[in-house]
Amino acid sequence: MANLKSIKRKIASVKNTRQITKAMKMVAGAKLKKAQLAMNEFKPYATAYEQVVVNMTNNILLRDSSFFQIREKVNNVGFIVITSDRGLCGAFNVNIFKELLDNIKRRNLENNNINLYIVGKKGADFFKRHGYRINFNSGTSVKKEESSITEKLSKIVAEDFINGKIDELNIISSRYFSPVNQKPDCKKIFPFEKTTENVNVEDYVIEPDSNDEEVLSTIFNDYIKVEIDIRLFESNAGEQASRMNAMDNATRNAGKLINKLTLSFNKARQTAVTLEILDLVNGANALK
Amino acid sequence: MPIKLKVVNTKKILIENNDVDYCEIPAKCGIEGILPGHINFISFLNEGKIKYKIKDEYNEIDAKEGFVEFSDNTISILLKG
Repeated sequence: MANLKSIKRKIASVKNTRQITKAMKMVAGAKLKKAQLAMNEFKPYATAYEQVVVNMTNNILLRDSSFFQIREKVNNVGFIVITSDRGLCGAFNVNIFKELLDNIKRRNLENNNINLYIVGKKGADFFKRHGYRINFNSGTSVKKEESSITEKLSKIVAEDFINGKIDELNIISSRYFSPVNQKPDCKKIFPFEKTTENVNVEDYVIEPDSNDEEVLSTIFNDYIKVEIDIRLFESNAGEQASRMNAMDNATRNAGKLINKLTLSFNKARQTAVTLEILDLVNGANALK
Repeated sequence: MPIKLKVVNTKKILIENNDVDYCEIPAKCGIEGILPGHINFISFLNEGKIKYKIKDEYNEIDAKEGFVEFSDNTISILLKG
């Protein structure tokens, strides 16, 4: 019977898919462990750096630095968007796009005032398709030891900010809280917020004192790099976790589908058997 | 009042101690000793040894490249690599 055959074929194909998603889950799990490790290694450094920069921003004397310049009118806004290279990771990328689009909508930004710096293929594809201007496209988000993406990117954004090409710089990426909890998040990097409380009016001695502007700009430039780095690590871990969950769901759904199909396969076979017996009985009766 | 000392590199926290009495760092302009109440400062590091004293015990670790920030009686040393 044709129906029987087609159901059988379907079961076989779903079984295949289940096997693939299962394997992908395993791979994502292994990668997640690695990514988590790398992230946890780097985290203390990033946290300490952040604290240092907060301490420094609380100091009035350092506020002559160009990174503190608050532009009177914020026209051009820069966004660093960190996405993944590959799909099949649930709503991971979509959540990030949504965060950015919400941001743009909320602030009523015009298309030509938006400057995008994109890390990750998925993000580049999406924003290209929707006609946004992309200032920087890393092409890949996979962080390798010798990769110079962060170096290049941090240099470009710092230059763009100081040259006035952008008046504000935000970074949008997925923050990693746990394997089942990642949230997209938008953080303003430049200009530094001038907090009014806890202002440290004491002097800061900057050494070597002959060129404090250079010392400061090196530290602040490095800060962008560290900030992008930690987010890359987090995004990578989040991507793998998200993929693991997505593949886990897919495997489970495939199992359910197989059960359903097997049931209908058995039903169809039973119908066929019954029909055949009926035929036989009818034939025998006719002969009597 | 003792100083808080925190030394991190990109892999882990090397030192985190809240009871440091004295600390010596290889700053760019020469070796610098820090006692509680030191003026706030920022400096790059030269290659050398970071020495610190807790009670009567001296310890030291190697430093290569990085920078130091001191404020609120807290020394943060960020080493590269």
